[in-house]
Amino acid sequence: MSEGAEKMDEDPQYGGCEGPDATYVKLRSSDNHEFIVKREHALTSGTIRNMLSGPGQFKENETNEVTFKEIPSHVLQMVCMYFTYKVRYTNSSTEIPDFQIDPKVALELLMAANFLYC
Amino acid sequence: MSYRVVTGLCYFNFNLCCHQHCIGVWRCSTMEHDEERQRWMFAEHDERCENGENCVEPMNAKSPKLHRRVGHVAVKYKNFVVVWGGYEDDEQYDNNAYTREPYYHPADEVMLYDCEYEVWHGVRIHGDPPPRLCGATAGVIGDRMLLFGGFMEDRQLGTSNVRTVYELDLNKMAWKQIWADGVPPLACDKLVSWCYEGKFYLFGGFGPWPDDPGYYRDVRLAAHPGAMREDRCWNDQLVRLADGRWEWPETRGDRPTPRAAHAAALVGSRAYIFGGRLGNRLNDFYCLDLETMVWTKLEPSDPAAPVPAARSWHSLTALDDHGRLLLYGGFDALSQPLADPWIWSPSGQRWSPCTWLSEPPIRMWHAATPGEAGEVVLFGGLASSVLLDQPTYASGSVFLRETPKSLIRLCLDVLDANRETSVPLVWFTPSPLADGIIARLTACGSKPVV
Repeated sequence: MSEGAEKMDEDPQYGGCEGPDATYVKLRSSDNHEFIVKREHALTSGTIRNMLSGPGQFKENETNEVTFKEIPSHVLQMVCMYFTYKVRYTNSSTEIPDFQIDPKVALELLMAANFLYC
Repeated sequence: MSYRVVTGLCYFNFNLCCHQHCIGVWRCSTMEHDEERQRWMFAEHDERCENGENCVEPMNAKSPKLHRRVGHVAVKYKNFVVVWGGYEDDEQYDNNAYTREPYYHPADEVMLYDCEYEVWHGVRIHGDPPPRLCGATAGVIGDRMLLFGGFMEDRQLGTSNVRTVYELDLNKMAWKQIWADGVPPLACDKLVSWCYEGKFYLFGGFGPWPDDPGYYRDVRLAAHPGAMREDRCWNDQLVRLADGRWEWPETRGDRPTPRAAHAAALVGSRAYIFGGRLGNRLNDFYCLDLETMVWTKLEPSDPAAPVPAARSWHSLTALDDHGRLLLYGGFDALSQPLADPWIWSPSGQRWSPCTWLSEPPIRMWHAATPGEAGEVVLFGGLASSVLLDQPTYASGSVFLRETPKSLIRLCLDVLDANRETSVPLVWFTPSPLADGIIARLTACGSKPVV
């Protein structure tokens, strides 16, 4: 087989959650759901940025895990989706599409966004 | 659910959430729930409060008072935009005939736009206001807005250009006139300004031929050739107000010709000027380095690259600290209003058409300021040619974004769109976040969109 076809047979390689150069971080909700998102995306949140890069105050910057005792999973999931939307359309050269938010979640999401500074 | 909540003299604290942009505390009127119309509102005030406090009223985002204006000024101050002045056409029916007269917006009020919560407020101002003007220019130094020049049409005071400087203290919301030493600038309108290192710079303009031309030997003047206008001219004055004194700095390099209705933007220590009108409409592009006072004419590095058409009454806004600029709209050489946004890229030394909006609206003689990060907002202006008998005024602000809104703002939009269910929930929200939500929900009408 040609080289290209061989490469296609390999599993895609993802970065991990371990260590200071990890590509991914884990965000844990109050109801113990774990959301594994790209570190670059999570840094959209000013609060997470501080937690992950602060001078050792937070143990999060060693384990790349952040637990949010007050943010439930149905809200944290929307937050993660916002991170992707934000990164995708920053410096966008086209018109930015709307970000859909269920009105029932809007207030909780606002409080989470306020806390996360994003 | 019908209930009435009167919060008394509520201190409307703008130091909300974790943002440090505090403009101070304004005493507002009482906030009430209007059971009949089922909405929250500030109790209406027609005149100043008895104890002389400022009157702040939330404005409907669609109010014509906000958007029906041309020749106004708009400046960014902390997380707000201050909009003042300008005029619109007032149609009156008198003796079986319609007449159109320009109506100049009152000088003792400003429209304040909160960029984050997207809420407008009208604020009454104390002190000694300037005359009602169009075509003036303004800039912010610290907590003060300086206003120069402009054109007034007043039944009693007459029609004329002014060369006065007024200062609006943005903390106390009070006007006062500034008297400065030295040779004052020529009275004119449609000029540009910028503030650098505590100095207020002015450039260009259109106004009456000076009575005292001896003082202005270094200023080039170009007469307007029209029959009734021999006594008016374009100028290329470059003057700055520093510590209560007018200074006329010497410059070198490629000095731009006289012009008016041009546009300027400041990036760091460089002021950029584009186009304007000197008889014909121009599309030349200059940069003034405020450290060396050297003018440079900027040409795209690739001569075949597209450049914006010649225009006046457009806007130029800095996008970031690197020198990217956004040019919008204006009025072209064939007297047609324009709707094309362009972006100047300093690294590529070229103009490119801006694609952030799929259908950018026509705007001329509008004002543009940066909004939140990655956003430019256009206020007012015309959505048609100014030469029409009945020009079309802007019906709303225009937002140009290259970055998505913050999640806080997106949530506020959704809460705003679902007011019936949102309002009761606010009482379960911790203050001061609640204050921000209340601000947005009490502003009648939905978010400003074109």
